[in-house]
Amino acid sequence: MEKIYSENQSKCKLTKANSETIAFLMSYSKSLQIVECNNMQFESNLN
Amino acid sequence: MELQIDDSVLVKDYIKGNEKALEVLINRHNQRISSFIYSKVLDKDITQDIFQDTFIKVINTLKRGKYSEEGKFLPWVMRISHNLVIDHFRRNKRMPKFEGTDDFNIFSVIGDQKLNVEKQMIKDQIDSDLNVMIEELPEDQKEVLVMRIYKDMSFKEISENTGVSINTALGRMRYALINLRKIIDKNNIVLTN
Repeated sequence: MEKIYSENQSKCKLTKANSETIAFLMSYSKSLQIVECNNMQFESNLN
Repeated sequence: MELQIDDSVLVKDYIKGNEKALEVLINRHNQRISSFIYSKVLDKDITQDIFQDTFIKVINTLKRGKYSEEGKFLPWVMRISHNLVIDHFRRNKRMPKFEGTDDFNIFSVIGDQKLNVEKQMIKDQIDSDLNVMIEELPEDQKEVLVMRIYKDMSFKEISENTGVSINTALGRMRYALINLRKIIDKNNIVLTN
């Protein structure tokens, strides 16, 4: 397909992840526990 | 001037269990990482998804203690998000999704041929009105009209079935239509969909 260079060159826009995403990541981080046992790692996610 | 704690210090704090440190890190680099992802995918929702997946990976790696501190937290996070962007495009290549742009929408070319509920109701109403009016026609005209329109017979077949000449059948059809129009005009019936 042809490439159109004439317009829409710059689509860079400053965006930010919204607060819900950050809140989710924080609670995910808090709930995640890594337990190590005999050189093995176990993930546990406490909701 | 506010003193900014170094990324590497915050990472160490987080690994030690200080959840607040992660929040500072996310907020500090939020705009750069989000804008980087957006510049590649050009979709806000996908940007949010990839941003989230990026930090899930970051959290997993940090909690597992697999992160080696080389003073390059941001480049490392950017690399993760870059890889996830590539994954996203790979996935989409396998399952291409067509989306209409502002200039061209596929649904302006391909339409749904079926009538919507309202139009179907109007059509049913018109059909039933028409049936009532056809009943008003003289018997010989009604016979020809029903055979021609509803039974889709040719005038030759009609003439054979009714025992009149083709010209008579044509004439009756003509009068049937004229009479139907008269009934419609007389009663001010609107038969449009």
